[in-house]
Amino acid sequence: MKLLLVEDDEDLAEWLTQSLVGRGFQVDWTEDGRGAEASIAADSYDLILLDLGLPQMTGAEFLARLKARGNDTPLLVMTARDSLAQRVALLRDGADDFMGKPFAIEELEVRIHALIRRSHGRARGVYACGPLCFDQAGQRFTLGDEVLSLSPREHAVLRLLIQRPGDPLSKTQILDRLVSVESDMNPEAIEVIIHRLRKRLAHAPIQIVTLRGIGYLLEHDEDGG
Amino acid sequence: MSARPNPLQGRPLWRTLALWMVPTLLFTMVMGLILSMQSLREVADSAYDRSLRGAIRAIDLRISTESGGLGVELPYPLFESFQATADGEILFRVSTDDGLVQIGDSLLPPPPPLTTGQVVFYDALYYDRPIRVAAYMRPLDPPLYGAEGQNLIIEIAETTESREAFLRTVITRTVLRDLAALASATLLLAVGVHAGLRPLRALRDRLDRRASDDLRQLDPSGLPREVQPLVQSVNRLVDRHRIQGEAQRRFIEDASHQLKTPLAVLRAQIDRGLQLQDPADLHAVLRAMREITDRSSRLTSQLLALALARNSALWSSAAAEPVDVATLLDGVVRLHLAEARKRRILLEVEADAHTGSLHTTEALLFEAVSNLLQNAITASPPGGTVTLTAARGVDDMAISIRDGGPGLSQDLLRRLGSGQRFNLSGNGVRNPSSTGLGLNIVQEIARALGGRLDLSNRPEGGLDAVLHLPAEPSGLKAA
Repeated sequence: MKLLLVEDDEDLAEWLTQSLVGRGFQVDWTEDGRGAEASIAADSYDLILLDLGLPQMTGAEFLARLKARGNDTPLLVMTARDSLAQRVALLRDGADDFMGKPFAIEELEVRIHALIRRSHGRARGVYACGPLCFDQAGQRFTLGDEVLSLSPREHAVLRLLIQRPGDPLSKTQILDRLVSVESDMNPEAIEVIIHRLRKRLAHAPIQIVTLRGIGYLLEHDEDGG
Repeated sequence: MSARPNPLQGRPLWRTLALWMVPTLLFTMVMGLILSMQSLREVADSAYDRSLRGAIRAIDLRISTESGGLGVELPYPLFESFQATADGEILFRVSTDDGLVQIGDSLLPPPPPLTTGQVVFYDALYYDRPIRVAAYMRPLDPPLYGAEGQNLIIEIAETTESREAFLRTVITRTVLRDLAALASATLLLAVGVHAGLRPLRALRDRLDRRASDDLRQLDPSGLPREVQPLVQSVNRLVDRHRIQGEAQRRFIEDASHQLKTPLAVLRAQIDRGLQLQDPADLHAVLRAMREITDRSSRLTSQLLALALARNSALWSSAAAEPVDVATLLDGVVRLHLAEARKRRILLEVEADAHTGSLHTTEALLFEAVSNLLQNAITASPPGGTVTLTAARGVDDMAISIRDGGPGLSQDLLRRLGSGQRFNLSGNGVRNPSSTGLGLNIVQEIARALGGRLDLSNRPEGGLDAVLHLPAEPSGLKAA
C-alpha cells in the first residue's frame, strides 16, 4: 500500500517513514503542499497523511484544493492543534480521519488500514461490518458466504446502519431517512424491525447495540460473540 | 500643511459649551434689542410729543380774531426754552382749513385729514430733514369774514435729530451692556469648566504617577458625579486585567512545573538507557519512555484546554449563546463512542428536546462534559455503563455523568472539594494513564460559567459527577 506523507518537520517525517516502512507500507515524503500536488499528479496513492502546519500552503488550503478537484483519496490529518472546534471543521472540510500529535504508531496503522479498506469498499459500492457485507450494485446483504434474506423494511434499516460505520442512528434519524420509502411508519415500528434484525443476526458476530438516548449502532463483535 | 484637526486633540469642553450657548444668547439679545428699540421709540415719542402738545396749547391760547383777522401772539419764551431742551429747530404754522390764512412756515407739508378738537402727531420731511409734527384743528369762532364753519389748524413741528440722538445713546449703552454680559458669561464658562475639571486633572496626575504594575482600583470619591461611571468602567477594566494577569501568572507557574516533570523523567530514562547493554532491558526502558511521552502529550493538551477555558471565560462573555443541552450531550457522546465501544462500554443519555437550553459558552461546556465523559469511560470497567443525564431545576441545569468504576478516594474528593489545584503526582488518581488535570479543568470551566462541579461516590459504586450551571447568564468569575 502506497502512502503520501506531507510533513514539514524533517525529524518527524524521517522517523515516521521508518516506522511505516517497517510495517510494510510504501511511503513517499514531501515537505509542502506544492510538492504534494506534484506527487499526486504524477502517481496514485492509497492514502494521504497530511500535516496541518505546512509552510506556504497550509494543510487546510491543500485539503480544500484537493477536494475541489474531486480527488477522493482518503486523507488522514495529523495536527498538534487538537481542539474540538478544529476537529469538527476538518471533518466537515473533507478529511476522512484525524490524529492529534503525538500519536502511537500502532493506532496510526489501524486507522490507515481502516480508511483504505473503507475507501476501496466504497469505490466498489461494498460496505462491510465484519462478515456482514452490503453490495450496493446488487442491493443485497451477505453474511459470510450466504445471502441474507430480509424484508424490504429490514433491508432499508440495515442498509442505513451499515453505511454509517461507528455512527449511531436514532429512531428519528432512521424515520427521516425512510420517509420517502415508507410513509406510515412510527418509532415503535423501528423497534420491531430492529428486534427482527437482531434475531436474523443472532448467530453472527454482529450486533445492533442500543445506546439509550442516542440510537442504534451496528457493531462487529471481534472477540467472537 | 494639512488643515485637518488632529483627532487626538479633541475640542476643549468650554468651547463646545460656548458654541451651544453664545449663538443662543446673541439671538435673544438681538431680539430683545429690537423689541426694546420699539418701546424706547414709543417712550421718547410720547415724552417729546407732550412738549409739542404744550406748545400747541400755548399758541392756541394766544390766537385772537377780535381784529376781524387772525392774530397770533407767539409764545417766544416757550419756544426758546423748547428749542433749548429739544436741541433742534422749531417750525410752526397757523392756518384756516380753507387755506385763506397762513401764518408761519407755509412750506410745512400739508397735514393729513384732521378731526376737530384732537391733536394728531405724525412724521414728515421738511427740506429733506425728518420732522415730527403735531397738528390740531378747532372751529374758528367767530369765523373770519363771515365765512361759515371755518376751522383753525395749528401745526407745530420740530426736527427729530435730538430724539434720534437720544435713542442712539440709549441703544448703544444697551448693546454695550449686553456684549459685556456675553463676554463675561463666556469667560465664566471657561473658568467654571476649568475649575470643574480640576479633579480630573488630579486623577490624571494620580494615574501618571502610578507604577505600571499597580492595578488597584481608583477612588471615584471627590470626582464630579458625571465622571464617576467612567471611573467605575475603568475600574472594571483594570480589575479584569488584574484577574487575567494573576490567572496567567499562576497558570504559567503551574504549567511550567507540570511540563518540566515528564521532560526530566524522559531525560533520566535516556541516561539510564545509554548505560544498558542488554537489548531486553533497553526495550523495557523504551516502553517506559513511550508511556511518559503519552502522558505528557495528554498533559499538554489538557493544559492548553485549561488555558483556553480561562481565556475565553475571561474575555469572551460575548461568546455566550443559547446552547441546546440534548444536542450538546449527543455530540459529546458521539465523539467518545468509538473509544467506549472498544471496551464494550454502553453510553446512555437521559435528555430530550424538553430539556431546553442554557445561555452559556458552547465550546467551554463541550470541553467540560467531554472531560467528565472521558474520565468516566477510563474509570468504567469493560462492559460497564456510563449515563449522562440533564435535568432542569428551577433556575439551574444539572448535567450528571455516572460511571460504574471505583469512584474517587476520600482524600482526592476532599482535595478537589477544597479547590486545591493540580492535585497530581499519581496518588489518588484513578488511572495510571490519567494526568489528573481533567477534573481541575472541569472545575475551572464550571466556575467560569458561573456554576460548580459536585463529585460524589455512588452507594452502588462508581462516581457521580454533576455540573450545576445557571440557566441565565451570570457575571464572569475570576478563574
